[in-house]
Amino acid sequence: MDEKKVLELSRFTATYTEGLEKGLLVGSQCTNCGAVYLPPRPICLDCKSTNMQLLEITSKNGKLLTYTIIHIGPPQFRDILPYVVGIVELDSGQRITAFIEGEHSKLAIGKRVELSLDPERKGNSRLRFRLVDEG
Amino acid sequence: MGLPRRIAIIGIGMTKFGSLGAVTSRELFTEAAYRAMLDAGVTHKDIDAVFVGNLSSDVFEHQMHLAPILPDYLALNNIPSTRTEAACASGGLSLRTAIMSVASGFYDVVIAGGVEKMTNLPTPKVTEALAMCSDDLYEANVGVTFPGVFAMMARAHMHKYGTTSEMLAAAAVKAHKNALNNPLAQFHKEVTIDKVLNSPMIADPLHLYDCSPITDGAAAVIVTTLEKAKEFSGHPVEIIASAQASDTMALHDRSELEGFRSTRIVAEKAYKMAGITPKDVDVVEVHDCFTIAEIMAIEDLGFFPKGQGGHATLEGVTAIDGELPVNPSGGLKAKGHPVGATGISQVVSIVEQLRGEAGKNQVADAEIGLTQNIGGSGGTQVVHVFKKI
Ligand SMILES: [Zn+2]
Repeated sequence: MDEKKVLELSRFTATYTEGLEKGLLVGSQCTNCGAVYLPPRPICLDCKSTNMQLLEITSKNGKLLTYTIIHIGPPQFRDILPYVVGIVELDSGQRITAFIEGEHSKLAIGKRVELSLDPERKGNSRLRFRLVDEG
Repeated sequence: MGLPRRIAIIGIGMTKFGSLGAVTSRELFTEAAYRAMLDAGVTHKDIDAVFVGNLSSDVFEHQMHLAPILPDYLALNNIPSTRTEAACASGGLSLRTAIMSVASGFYDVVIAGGVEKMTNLPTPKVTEALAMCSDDLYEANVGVTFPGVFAMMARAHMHKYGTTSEMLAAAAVKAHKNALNNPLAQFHKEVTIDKVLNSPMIADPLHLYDCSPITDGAAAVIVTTLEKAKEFSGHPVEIIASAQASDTMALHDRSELEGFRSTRIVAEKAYKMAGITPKDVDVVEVHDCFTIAEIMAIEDLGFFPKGQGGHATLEGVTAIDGELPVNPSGGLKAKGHPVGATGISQVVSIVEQLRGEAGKNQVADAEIGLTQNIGGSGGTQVVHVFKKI
C-alpha cells in the first residue's frame, strides 16, 4: 500500500442498495491489484489497499453453488413461503446470496441462473436470480 | 504459549433447560450462578466480577442493559458486570473474557455465565431475531434464515462428500439418546432416524429434528486461578486453552461452503496453547445447533478427515461408548439451546465429565475435554480445552 487514502466509507452499503433499485449490481474494484468485490468493500481483502473504485458488475449470469428451500421464515417473507435462497457465483467470479426463482424440481448445485431483480420488493431484498431453462 | 496465570473452574451451576414459562433472565441467571457459588464453596465477598453471555434480552424480554441486573439480583452489590454478545457464542465469549480478566491478574474470582429467555415470543419472531445473527444486509434481506445458512452448508457438504440425510439424522438420534440421562435437558424422548426424516422440513435439507429447539435457561461457572482454587472447597478442573477467531459475516464471502475455516483456525490455536493434538481429547461438546454443524465440527476440529464426520456419526464412533464421545450431555439439539447460556452449559458438561460426575453418561477415563461454541454461521468461534486435575 503506497499512499494512504482517507476513506469515505459511508456510501458503500447505500450505493449497493441504490444500485439494485436502479437495476444494477454495484461492486468495488481494487485499483492496486484488480480484485473485484460484490457487495462493494472499502479495503481490499487481498492487498489491503484502500484504492477502491465503485463499479457496475456487468456479469448477469452465473451458477448455483448451493441453495435451500425455506419452509419456516420470518414474518416479512411469510407471503412467499416456501421460497428458495441460494449462493450464486457470477461468471465474472463474484459470489452473492439471493432469492432464487424457478421450479423446485429443477434445482441443483451447478444449475445456470440469470439476474432477475424483483421490482415488488425494496432495497437489498430485490436481488433475485432465475433458473435458466437448459432445455 | 500458555496462560499468564493458570486458571481453574471450581464451581458449576445450571438451571433446567426448556420452555420455562413465567420466569425472567434475572431469576434464571441467579439460580445458575448461586448453584455455581455453592458448588465452588465461594461466598458473596469472594466474587470480584460477573460476565454474562446473552444474545438478546432486548428482543426476547424488552430489556437492554442486562449486565447490572444480574449482580443486583444476586445481591453482589456494586461489583462490575459485563455482557458479551456474539450470537450463539455469547456464552463461550463470556468464559473467555472471564479467563482473560483472571489470567491477567485483574481479578481473582469471577462468575462467567450465560442466559437466554426465548419462549416469550412466537416462533416466527424468534426466527426473525435469530436471522439477525446472519448478515442482515446481504443474507437476512434476501430471505436467509438461520437454519437456511446451515441448510446451504449441508447441501454443499452432501454434494461434495456424499453425506446423507440419514447421517445427519444419526446425530439427532444420538443427541436424544444422551439427553435421556441428563435431568436438566429439554427433551427426554428417544427419536429414530425415520422420525427425523419424516419430521417437517424447516430449510431443505434440514428437518425439524435436525434443528436445535427454542429454549429458556441459564448456566454459570466460577473461574479463579489454580493457586487460589486451594482456598475453596470446590473440585477444580484446569482450563488449558482458550481461543477465539472470526470469519466473514456472509457465507458467500468464504471460499469454502462445506465447513468452517474459522473452526480450523481456532482449533489450531487451542491445541497449540494446550500443547496437545486432537488425539489427546477424550470427550467433546461441539456446537450442534443443527445436525450438519456437528458433522462439520468433528471434521474441522481435526477428529475425522473432511467428509468422514457423517460416516463416523452413523457408525456410532461418537456415541458415549464410542472412540470419541461427542455431546454426551445431549448437545444443543436435545439438551436445548438457550442461545447465550449454551457456551457455558457446554463447559458445565465437560467439567462434570472431568470430575467423574456425569452419572450414566460418564465417559470412561476422561482426562482432557474440549468445547466448541459457534456464533452465528461461524463469524465467531470459541474453543476451550479442559484438563482433569
Ligand atoms: Zn487489492
